[in-house]
Amino acid sequence: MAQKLIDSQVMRAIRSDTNGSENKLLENLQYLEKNPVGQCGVHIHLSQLQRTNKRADYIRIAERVFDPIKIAHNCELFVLENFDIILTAPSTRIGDIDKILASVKSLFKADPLVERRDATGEESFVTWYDLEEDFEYFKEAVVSCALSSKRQNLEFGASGLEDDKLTPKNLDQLARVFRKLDARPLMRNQSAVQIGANGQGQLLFREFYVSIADLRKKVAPEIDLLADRWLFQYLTTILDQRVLHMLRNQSMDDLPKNISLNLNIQTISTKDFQLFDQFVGDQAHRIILEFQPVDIFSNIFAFVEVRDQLQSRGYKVLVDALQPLVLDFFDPSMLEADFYKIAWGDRLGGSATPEGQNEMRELIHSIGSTNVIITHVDSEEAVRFGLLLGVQKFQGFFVDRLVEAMTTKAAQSLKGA
Amino acid sequence: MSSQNQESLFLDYVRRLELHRQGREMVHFHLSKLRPFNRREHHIRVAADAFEGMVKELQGQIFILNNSDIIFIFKMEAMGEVEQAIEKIKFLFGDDPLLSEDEADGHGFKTWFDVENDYDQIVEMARNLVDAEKNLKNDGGARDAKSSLLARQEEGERLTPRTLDRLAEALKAADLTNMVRRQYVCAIEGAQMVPTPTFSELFISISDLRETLLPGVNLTSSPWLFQHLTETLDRRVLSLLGKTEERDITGDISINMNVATLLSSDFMKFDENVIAAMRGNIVLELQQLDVFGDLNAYLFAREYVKDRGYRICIDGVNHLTLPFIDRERLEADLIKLIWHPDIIHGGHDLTNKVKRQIMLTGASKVILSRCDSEESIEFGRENGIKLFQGRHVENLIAEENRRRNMRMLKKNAARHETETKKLKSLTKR
Repeated sequence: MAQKLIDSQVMRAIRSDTNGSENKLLENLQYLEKNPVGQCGVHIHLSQLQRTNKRADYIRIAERVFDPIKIAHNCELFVLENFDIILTAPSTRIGDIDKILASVKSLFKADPLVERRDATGEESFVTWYDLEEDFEYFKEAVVSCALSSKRQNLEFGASGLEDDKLTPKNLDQLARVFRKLDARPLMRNQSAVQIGANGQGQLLFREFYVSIADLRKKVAPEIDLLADRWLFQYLTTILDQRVLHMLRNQSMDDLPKNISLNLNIQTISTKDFQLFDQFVGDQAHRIILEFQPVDIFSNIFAFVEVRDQLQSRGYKVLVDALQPLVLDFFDPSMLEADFYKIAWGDRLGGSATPEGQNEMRELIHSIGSTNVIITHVDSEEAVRFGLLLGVQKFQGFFVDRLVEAMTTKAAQSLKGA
Repeated sequence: MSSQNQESLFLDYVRRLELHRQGREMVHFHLSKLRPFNRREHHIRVAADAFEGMVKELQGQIFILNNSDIIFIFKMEAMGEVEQAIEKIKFLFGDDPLLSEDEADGHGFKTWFDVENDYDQIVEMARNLVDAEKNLKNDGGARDAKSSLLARQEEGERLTPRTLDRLAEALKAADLTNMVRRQYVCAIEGAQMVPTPTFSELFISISDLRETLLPGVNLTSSPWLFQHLTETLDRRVLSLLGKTEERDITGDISINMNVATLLSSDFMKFDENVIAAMRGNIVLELQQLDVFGDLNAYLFAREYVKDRGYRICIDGVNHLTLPFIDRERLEADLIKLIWHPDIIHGGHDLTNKVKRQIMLTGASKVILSRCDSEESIEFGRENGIKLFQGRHVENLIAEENRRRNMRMLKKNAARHETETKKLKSLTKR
């Protein structure tokens, strides 16, 4: 229901939610319009943070940094639904506000927004207004921000707030359902490709995974499966069993040439994997097994043992879901896996500085650029940027489109022949 | 992952005895030959307890093998005590036919070795034990039904969502105050190894929790359900601490927290109630898996709590993950490195790697934890580590307290003596 709403509709919605921050902000604006003398306005653009940093718990903590000024006379703070924060205060408090802003910035210092400047050299993180002089600009900025905040909320809905959370109690019931689950209709696959210097793509492998969204629709439409990450991880251990079960109920000949699977490390020592291993037989080289960093660091001894065991059988081991940020902290190749997946994100994006690019190229080179796969690739730009860094392996929505084009082309040339 | 088994610890120990063979004896109790009913786990434990005093006094070392046999190596001075212990064990198993056989040929129940003369034989025996143990593990295949049943029996029932739910319910009503344990992190100085506490870790004893609320359940069988449980415990610890008066908590303390807990409103509430000055006395211990599970969340939480004045320690680091922990970039005040005998017995390469990593981390920022032997502390001190924690540290503290009491007693006695002398001299006059 992503229909476009016109401004007046959105405004009506703001006004009808009398206790909403957006409405209170606009009410305050009316008051300030008559009393702007000696007042300043501060707009903190937290809505422009990276997606990973736009979390309700982060914003709550950031809001708390304002506590000392919130209780002061004549200061008003509004946290909008899109996470932007707007503060109005007497201009005499600029020093205090500056201190607070420095704390908020340091909270988000891993986010590129903090350092970013727009074309005119202005900070992207915060905009200051002298209400005596710039009231009209402030009003315009605030109203359009309130509108877009509310519109977003109306069009996409407050995500997951009404859903039940995953708890040990409902997990118990879910686990039972999961154990009998037929994974086949929920299986999806996504291709990873190698892109050569000539721009030609070549299929590397297909990742088989269970669609969590479809799974939820099928078994627990009212429960937010991702609300508790540990309990969700537990569910994935059961999914592992179901996926392995499903795969060994067909023939290796029916599977694509190379496939990858996401598994928990613990799963490797279960009977399900033993049976799968027998089923795979001498075809282990066709299979890549993907493990999560959190799983690896929860018991590195187990990982090392499993990795060696799998590699000696001929399987390939892949470390999944590395945040680009991780490269600032350690060299993943110390994990001695065959492949490393790094998620495409802002830090890898075109916004990075030339020095940043050089550093990233060096890091990727030291991991071994042939072992790195950039995932979540959603645009041609991402691929171009990856190639620039020396990476040749990619996965993501954009790659899916490439693969589609490749297959149609292949089919056409077959027809033509 | 299981730590080193007793067989390989025995082999390690025997190897290290090479230069200290003199004046030591070894006795091997063949408890594996007892009738099955007589060698249940608790039988073996009670038998082993007979040697506990000597182990604590560092008179000897005990190994309880997988087949229930017990091996005790001790200094000659302790012979009298050992004989008493043997009498106790004989009494304990008096009903078993093995002990009458013992009378017949004197060999069925126990075998004596003189470490100096029989050294080679002992090494060979230890080696065979290690090999046999390895084969046993490999023979059974990775997980055949029988061995997994056996393992489950040994490890306890698995933690399931249902038991976790039961536990969560029980936790709501349970009084955890008496399950809070305190273990000191100490600086250890001088040849005398005098421990000086720098702060103490407050934690809820998982084994007490299990004994009280869910006996027989292995709480760590699923890492994920366990992790969920720790978040529940975090909140309980915060509310316990929030209630305690300042005077109840003496000195600096550390508590274990999940990153998610730090970001929750529970922590916010705790932080609001804690006296600002006390924040600096609190070290927050975060598990490495939690740091790497979501690095972004760690970085945010770190800024938040450090700004409030807390200190951060990265907990659960081991010799394999140490190279991944860039303490400076992570801006952690301290890291806790778990001691493992492999650090010195796992080959030169590993030892050197660990030493290098300690240098890189900053030895003064490392706490060597789970120190259960003297060699762990020796290794740490040789490499500049100042802070230690673990069973052996607790022993040192006890020892130091004894020494202090002795000094006090002596001082009192001396004072008493001079006073009586004075009295005497007075009466003489």
